[in-house]
Amino acid sequence: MTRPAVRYQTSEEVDFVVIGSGAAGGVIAKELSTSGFSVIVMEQGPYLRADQFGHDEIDTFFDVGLDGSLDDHPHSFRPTADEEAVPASFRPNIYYAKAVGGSTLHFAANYWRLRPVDFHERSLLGAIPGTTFADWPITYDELEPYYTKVDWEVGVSGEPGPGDPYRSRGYPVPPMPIKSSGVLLRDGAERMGFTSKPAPLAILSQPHNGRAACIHCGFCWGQACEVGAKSSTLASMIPVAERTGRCEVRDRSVVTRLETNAAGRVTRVIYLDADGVEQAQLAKAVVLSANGAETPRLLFLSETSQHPDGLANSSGFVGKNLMFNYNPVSWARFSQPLNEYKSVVATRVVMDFYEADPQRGFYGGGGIDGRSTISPLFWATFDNPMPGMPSWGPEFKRQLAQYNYTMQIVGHGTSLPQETNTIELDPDLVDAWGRPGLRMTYTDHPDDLAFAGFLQERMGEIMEAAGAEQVTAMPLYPSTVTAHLLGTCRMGNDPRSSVVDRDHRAHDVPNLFICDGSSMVTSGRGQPTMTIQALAFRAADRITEFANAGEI
Amino acid sequence: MDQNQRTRREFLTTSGSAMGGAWLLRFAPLIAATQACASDAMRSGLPFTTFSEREGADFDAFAARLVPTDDTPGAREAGAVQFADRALETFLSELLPIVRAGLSGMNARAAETFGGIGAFADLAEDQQDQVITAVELEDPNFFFFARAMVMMSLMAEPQYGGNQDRVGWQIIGFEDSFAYLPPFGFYDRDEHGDGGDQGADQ
Repeated sequence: MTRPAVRYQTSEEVDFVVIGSGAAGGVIAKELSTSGFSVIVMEQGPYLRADQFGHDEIDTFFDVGLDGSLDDHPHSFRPTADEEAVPASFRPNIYYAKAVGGSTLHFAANYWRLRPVDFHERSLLGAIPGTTFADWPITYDELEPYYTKVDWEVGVSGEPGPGDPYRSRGYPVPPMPIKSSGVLLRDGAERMGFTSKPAPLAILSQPHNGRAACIHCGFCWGQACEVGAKSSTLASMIPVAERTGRCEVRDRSVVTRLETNAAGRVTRVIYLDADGVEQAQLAKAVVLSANGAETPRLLFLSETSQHPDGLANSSGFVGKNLMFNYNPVSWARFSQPLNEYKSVVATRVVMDFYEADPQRGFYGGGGIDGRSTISPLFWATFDNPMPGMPSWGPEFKRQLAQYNYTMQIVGHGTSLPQETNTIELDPDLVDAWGRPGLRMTYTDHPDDLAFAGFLQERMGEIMEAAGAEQVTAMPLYPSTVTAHLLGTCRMGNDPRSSVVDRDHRAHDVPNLFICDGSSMVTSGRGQPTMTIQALAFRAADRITEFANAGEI
Repeated sequence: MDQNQRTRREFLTTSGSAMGGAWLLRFAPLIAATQACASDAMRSGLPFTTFSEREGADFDAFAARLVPTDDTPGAREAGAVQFADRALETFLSELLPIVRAGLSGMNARAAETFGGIGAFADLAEDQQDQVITAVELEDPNFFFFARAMVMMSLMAEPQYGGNQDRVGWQIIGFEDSFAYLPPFGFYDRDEHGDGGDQGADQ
C-alpha cells in the first residue's frame, strides 16, 4: 500500500474538500492540488489498487464490490410520481462504482465530445412541450481547451473523423486497433453511404504519461483495468494529485451533511469515517462531485431552516431533469468468427445521425457503435438474443457456440430533460450509514424512444449491408436502469431555473461548487464522461481564479 | 402477472443492454469467501455438502438436459452439480429454499405425469425434458435460478468448482488468456498487416 501523500486533521481548515473521486472529482482534486491548494478528496468506497482487479467474472467482473450491495445502498424506482416506488431487490436501477476512481473504473471508456450544436440546440429548434429543454450557459468554444486537456492529461486514443467539432490539438495516441465488429460497422456504413471513424476511447493504445498501453484482455466493460491502461481517475488523476503532497484521498468516508453557517456558507463536511464514527472536516470551500444521484441526495440532507428544501435549492431544481441517454441495442450474427471477447468494447463509431432533424417529426440525435458480445457468463446466463432460441437443450447448446460469430450494435441517443424525472430521498429506505435511500422517478420522453427507433432501423440496415446472416433488434423497453445520471443540478445563468452558475458555483452558496453529471443541461448523444471531465477541468480553472482573487 | 414473472421479465429486459447483469453484485462479499473451495476436492467424488444424494442426482440430471453432452462435453462434465452444491452452501445460500422446493416440485410433476414414485433423475431423457418444459412455466423462479447456476458452472472461473477442464469455455470458443494481440477475428485479419496499432483508416 502506498502511504497517503499527506494527512490533514479534521480541525485543520483545508482549502477544499472535494466530495467524490470519480470522473469530475478526480480531475478537480488533481487541478486544485497542482495549483497549490490543500485538498481532501472524500470517497465513500475503498481505495483499491490495480493489482486487486482481475478477470474472474463472478468475483471480479461483476462483484469486486465496486457497486456495493443493494442492502448497503438501497434505492427504489417508479416510472411516474403516480406509481408506487419499488425498491431494487434483484439488481440495481442506479448503477455506479463506490471506490476511488468512481465509475471511471468500470466504464467502457467511450469518450465523445459534444458538438457546438449541443450547447444552443434550444435556441436552434425552439421549445419542446413537456420539457425543460434549454441552452447551456457556456459554448463549445469555451469548453474546447478543456476537452483537449482531457485528451492529453486523462489520456484518450482516437483519430479525427467526419463531422467532428473543432479541436485545437490532435489525440495524444492513435486509435485502438480495429476489431472485427469495427470493420463490419465501417464497411456496412460505407455501403449504406454513411461514414464512420475510429472510436475515441479513454484507453491507451500506446504508453502515455508514464502509463502502460492496453493488452487487449477484453474485460473493460463493467470491470476495472489491472494494467492502468484504462484512463480512470484512479490511474490518471489521483496519482498526480497525491504526488503534490497537498492532496489527501480519504477513502471509506461517507458524507452525510454539509454544515452551513448563518451567513449561508459551508463550514464543515460531516461524514462517517471507515469505522462509522462521525467526523467533521473544516474547509474553506467544498466541491461536490458525487454524481447525479449522490449530489442531490447530499444537498437534500443538508437542509436547514435557511434552506428548507435542501441546500442550494432555492430554484427547486435539485434532483430534477434527470436524463439517462437511451440505448437501442441490436445483435448481428456473421458466418465467420469475430472473437469479440478480445480487446476493448468498441473500435468504430458512426456519427451521421448526430444532428437532430425536425423533418423526422421528433427531436433526437445520436451515434452508433459496433461492439463486443457480452462476456461468457452473461452470454450463457441471459436468454440469447436470437429469436426463437430455446433457453435450454441441444439447440440451446448449439446456439451457445455462436458466441464468437455474434456482435452487438448499439445506439446512443438523446434524452430530453423533464422536471418530472427525478432523484429524491426515498421516504422508507435507509442505507448502511443511516442516510435515506434514493428514489428515482423516470419515464422516457416519447421523442427519446422515437429517435431510438429511428436509430435502430439504421443500425439494422448497416448490419445487413455488412453481410450479417441474422440481425435481431431488441425491443425498445422503457428505461428503468441507468449508469448515466445527468442534469439533476443543472448549470444556468438564471438562479430561478438552475442550481449552479456558468462557473459551477451554487447560486445560493458562495463557497459551494457542484460539478459532475448533474451539471449537464442537455444529455448529449450518449457518452457523457468526456464532457463531465472537460467541465471539471474548466470548473477547476475558474475556482482557482476565484480563490486567488479572494472571491470565494 | 405475478411477482416471479415480473421479476424474470424485468431481468430479461435488461439482458441485452449495457446494464444487464448487475444483479450479481449483491452476492459479492459471499462469493469472495468461497474462493478457497478446491475443484480437485469436488471432482474426487466427495459426498454433497448441501444437497441430499437424491437432490444432487436430480440437479445433475436437470443440468445435463439443459446443456447436454453430445459430441462435446456438457454441464455434467463441467461439474454443474458440484458447483451448485457448494454455491448453495455459500454465496447463493439464500437461493437454497427456492432450489430445494423446486427440485421437490420437479419430482411431484414427474410423478403426476408419469406415475409411480421414481425420481426425476431416473426418468428417460425425453420424459425429463417434458418435466423441465412444464416446470419452466410453472415455477419460473426456480427454473431461472437453477438455470443460472448451471450457466455459472459452465462459464465462471474454474476455481468455483464448475467449468472443469474449461469445458464451458470450449463450447463457446472462448480462449482463456491474459492478453491478446491483433488480429482478433476473421474480419479484421487484413487490417493490421504492418504490425502497427493503427486501424484500417488512412
